[in-house]
Formats: sequence, structure tokens, C-alpha cells
Amino acid sequence: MTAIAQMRRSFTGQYPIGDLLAIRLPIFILLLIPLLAPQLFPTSRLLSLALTVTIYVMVANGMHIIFSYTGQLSLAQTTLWGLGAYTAALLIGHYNPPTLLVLPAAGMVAAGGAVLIGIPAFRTGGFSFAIITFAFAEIARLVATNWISLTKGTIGLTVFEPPKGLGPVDFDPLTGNLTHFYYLSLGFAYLSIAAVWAIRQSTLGRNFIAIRENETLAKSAGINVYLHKLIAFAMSGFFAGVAGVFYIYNAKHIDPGPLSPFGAFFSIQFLLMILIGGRFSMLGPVIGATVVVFGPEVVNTIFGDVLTISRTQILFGCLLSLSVLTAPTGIAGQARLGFTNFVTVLRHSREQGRSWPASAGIAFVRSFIPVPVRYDVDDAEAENR
Amino acid sequence: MSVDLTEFFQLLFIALRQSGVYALVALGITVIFGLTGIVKFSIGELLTIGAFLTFAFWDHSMSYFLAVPAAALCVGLLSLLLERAAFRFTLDQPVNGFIVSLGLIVVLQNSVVEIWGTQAKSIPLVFTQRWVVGGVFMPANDWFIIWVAVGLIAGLFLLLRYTKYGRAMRACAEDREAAALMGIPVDYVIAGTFMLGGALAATAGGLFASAQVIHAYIGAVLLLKGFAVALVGGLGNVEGAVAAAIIIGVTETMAAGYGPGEWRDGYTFGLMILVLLIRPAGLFSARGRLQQTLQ
Repeated sequence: MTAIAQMRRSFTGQYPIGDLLAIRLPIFILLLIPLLAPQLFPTSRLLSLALTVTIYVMVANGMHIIFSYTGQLSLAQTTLWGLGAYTAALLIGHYNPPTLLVLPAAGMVAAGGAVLIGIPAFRTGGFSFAIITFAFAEIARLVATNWISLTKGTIGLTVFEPPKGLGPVDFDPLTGNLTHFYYLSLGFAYLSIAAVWAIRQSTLGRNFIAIRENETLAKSAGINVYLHKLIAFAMSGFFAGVAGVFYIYNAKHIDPGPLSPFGAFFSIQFLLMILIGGRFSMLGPVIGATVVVFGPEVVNTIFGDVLTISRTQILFGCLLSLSVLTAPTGIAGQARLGFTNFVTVLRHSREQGRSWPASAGIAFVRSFIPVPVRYDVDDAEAENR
Repeated sequence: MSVDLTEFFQLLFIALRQSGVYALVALGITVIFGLTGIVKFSIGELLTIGAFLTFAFWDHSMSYFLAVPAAALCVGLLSLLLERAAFRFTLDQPVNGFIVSLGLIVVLQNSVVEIWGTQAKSIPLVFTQRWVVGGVFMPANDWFIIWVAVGLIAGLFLLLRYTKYGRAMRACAEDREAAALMGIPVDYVIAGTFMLGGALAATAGGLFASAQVIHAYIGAVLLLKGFAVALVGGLGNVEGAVAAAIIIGVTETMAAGYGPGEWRDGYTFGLMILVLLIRPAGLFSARGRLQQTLQ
């Protein structure tokens, strides 16, 4: 069998045609909607929010690899993001190389930072890892504050150069058209989604999940747990570093203030995105980032600016706690459950001889109840009677 | 006495005061972990709220000595409420408890911002006397903090060791199911421990408010200090936490006093990371958790 035929067979085995048409295709089409954002959003404010989503998606996808797949809660994600942003700001400020060089450079520096944090931190596990990453995040902030000759301390670094070396299009988000920069960032957000998908399909991704599920078992199956954790962390750092470049081109400024993105507390925000979106789903971070960025905007539009920054944060904190307690699979998991329930009830109802519209109505209502449908139990009980 | 020695004792005195505050935070963390296995990250924000409540009560012309216990009681009740509303559902999965507490950090911190704003507040010194012993300045206020901390720590030890409630706590820490079978109301004991931890943190906040300027974000740094202490001492180890508080307080103050002071927090975190690398279970955790250390 040729390699291609083998791949095709494994692909169709994994995704039966009905599954592809009913689930994958609609999701794929939904994923294309952001391409229309510049046309859909008339104001530049909404477009810049969409741009924020694309940047958050990159960081959150990175955290997805280390948190959702490998099961290690890193609170240094935003620090790696800030590391990428600082690297980019320094490179651009001193040498102004083409953007296609800045991106991998910032990514590699952040990945290197992740490895440096990971080498000591992964010697412990569980909570200790989270707390050590938190401490490293604070140390990084101290370094950024006190290494004044490099980082200009609390004043921070400012970059006014637009992205360059990408052809004749003007990518400057300030003077030029925001749309171009948005498409550039969106392209890399798509790339990050594709990368997560590829990792999830690979042996590497399966090893990550094995570590999450049972570390001892993974070790006994011959997986080098320590190394795999480091690889996962380095990958997530790379994502964050690349996102940092887009952050610095867009925001123009980075400083180590406690509430700037360069602080550990901002990492909680990304944890929130993943948990709300769904940590067991590939697109969880995308859904989460969209909700976190556009949610307050929607509420403010409907109810008239009730959400200040601190109120939004209070709401998000409650959401984070509530979603852990009541819906650990997040929006994506709930949606999947709803869809499965819909199909099961529809099929069962048709078998019972109800008409199509009636069946669809029942199934539609049932799909909103977040409890799995199980007819076999009912049937067994009926037989017992 | 030579100048060097005077400086040394001055720093040691400051270190002692810092250690007192750190120990109270760390004890709250360590008692809760020892009993439930939940790492309660939001305790730093309970400290902030304690500090601000103390300020608010004092601002409404209540005596400072009444304001601190009142604030501790309020925060204890808040902590109890949070346990009933959220943490009791996470007892089987402590990781979820950790994530819930991360969410609560955000909620509590921003609630403080919403209620009291981001501006710094301060309470004037409660005791204004200063004693000078051999060239070492010893403000009476610092002595007050040290003695309150020592008193509370001693009280906690007595509570754990000699009261019925303390014995119930140790039993629950050892084996929750067996304790329940022996007729110990496990739910109440755990709820009570959360209240205790919250009240300890709030007291630390109240003491902190009398010594330094408070703002909505003090919880973050003090939380990390408290955690550094709890981890270095061994999570769940009460005696270890007290010893670690002194170690960390002294290290930090000495390093900042003799070395560059702007890295003050860095010394603590560096020490914590170092200890976790060499002894992941903490310095004093030959036997580990709450139940063993206090038997």
C-alpha cells in the first residue's frame, strides 16, 4: 500500500463521511467567518477587538498544548508572551530586521525561556509546577523592571516601526489599513490552529495525552515524561513568543507593570479562555478567546456600558469558578453533547413513528438539556416490567 | 556595639516582623492544604480584604484593636461562605479547587478595586513609641505585630494539639472516611478550617495595614511570600511553616539589606525554587503532612 493510500484509509477510518459532512464541514465554515471580519465590522474598534482575538488565540493555543494536552498548569504563559514581545521590541528597536525574521526569533527566545523555566520546574509536579511558574513569572517581571539598561525599567519599550519586508502591502496598524495587519495576524492564528491539530494527530500529541491521563503509566510505557513535558512547554512558549510580536506591532508598547500583559495574573485570563471554550476540544481556545474578548462588548452594547474593567473581571472570575464546577468540558463540550443528544433523539423519535417536524422539535428541545440521552437504559427497564 | 553589628540586629528585627506576617498567611495555606489537599491560592486576596476591612472599620472611628478582630471575623465568614458555595464540591478533585481559587483571586481583587478603588490607603501607627536598644530602633508597633503573630501561632498550636476540634481536624487530615465513620462531622470540620485560614490571613492583613501602606494589589505579593513559606516548610506542615517563615523573613531582609534592595522579592522566590528543587516536599517534611507533624 502506498503511503498516500494508507493515509487516506486512516483518515476515512477516523472521520466517516457522515461525520465529515455533519460536523467537520460546518465547523470548518464557521472557522472561515473571521476572514469576513473587516467587511462585517464597520467600526475599527470592533476590528481591533477581532485582532485581539487572533493574538489571544495564538497564546491560548500554546497554553492548550501544555495545559489541556499535557496536563501541566503553567501560569507563566503571559510571561513567555511578554518575553516574545520584549525580544521583538529590542530587535526592532536596534536592528529593525524583516518581520519574517522577527517572528521565529521571538518564538525561539520564548521557547528557550520556557525550557529554562521548565528544566527546574518539571522536577516537581502538580501544584508545585503551577506555583513555581507563578514565581518565575514574578521573577521575570523583577528582571524586566530592574535591568534598566536593556528594558528601560518601568518606562518600558516603545516601537513605532510597522511590520516590514512582506511585499508592497502596508501593514502598519496605525497609519495604514488595520485590515492588512488583521489578515496577517489571522493567518498566523490559523497556522497555530493547524499546528495544534497536527500535534494532536502525531505520536507526540498522543504521548502528551498519555502523560496527562496517567504519568506513571506513561513512564512505564517507555515515554520520557520529563522530556515530553519540556517539549510541550517549549512549543507553547513558541506560540506565545510569536503572539508577542503581533502584540508589540499592535500595541506599540510593553512595560512590566503588575497589570500589563507581562504579569502572572493575566495568565489566569488564558486559563479562563481554555476552560470556557473547552479543554477537551481542539477549538476550545478559539471559542474561549472570542467569548472573552467579545462577551463584554456584547453585554455593554445591549445593557449600555454596565461593565467596567473591574466588573468584567469579577464576572470572568465567577465564570471561571463556575465552569470548573458545573461544565468542565466548556462550551465546545456542551455543544458536542447537545448535538449528540439531538441526533440520538431525532433517530429514536423517527423509529417510534413520529413525523419529521415533531421529531425535530422534540430533539431540538432535548439538545439543550446537558445530560446524555440513553435509551438503552429505558428499554431495559421496560423489559423488566 | 560596632556599627556593623547594630545594622545586623536592626535587619534581624525587621526580618522578625516580616516573618510574623508571612507565618500567619502560610499557616492559613498550610492548614487548609493539610486537611483537604486544596491549594487555596485566593488566600492572598482574603488578606487584602482583611486589610481593607480593618481600614474601613477604623475609618468609621472604631478602635484599631476592635477593627482587626472584626475584620478577621468578617473574612472568616466570607471564607466559610466560599467553602460552602464552591470548595466543598472540589474535595474529590483538588486541582479543580486550585482553579476555582484562581478564579476567586480575580473576583476578590476586582471587588476590592470596585469598592475601595485603586488608591493606596494607610492607618497611622497604632503605637508611636520607639525604643532604642544598643542603637537598634524598635518601634512599639513592630513589637505589637510580632507579639500578636506569636500569640496566634501559639493559639493555633494549642488548638490543634489539645482541643476536641483540633483532634477532629487531625483525624480528618489522616483519613476523612474513617473520621466520618467515627462520628466526626467532617463537613463542619473542613468548613471550620477554611474559616480559620481566612481569619488568619485577614489578621495578617490587619497587622500589615498598621505597618505599611495598603492597596488593592498587596495580596498578590504577600500570597506568593506566604506560599514560598508554606512550600519551603512543607505544605501541610504547621511547625515547618513557622520555621520557614523565619528563614525566609531573615534571608529576604538580610539579602535586601546588604545586597541590592530592588531584588527583595526575587531572593524569596529564588530560595523557594531552590528548596523545591532539592527537596520537593519542603525542608521539614521528613514525614510530611499535618496529621503526622502534630502527633
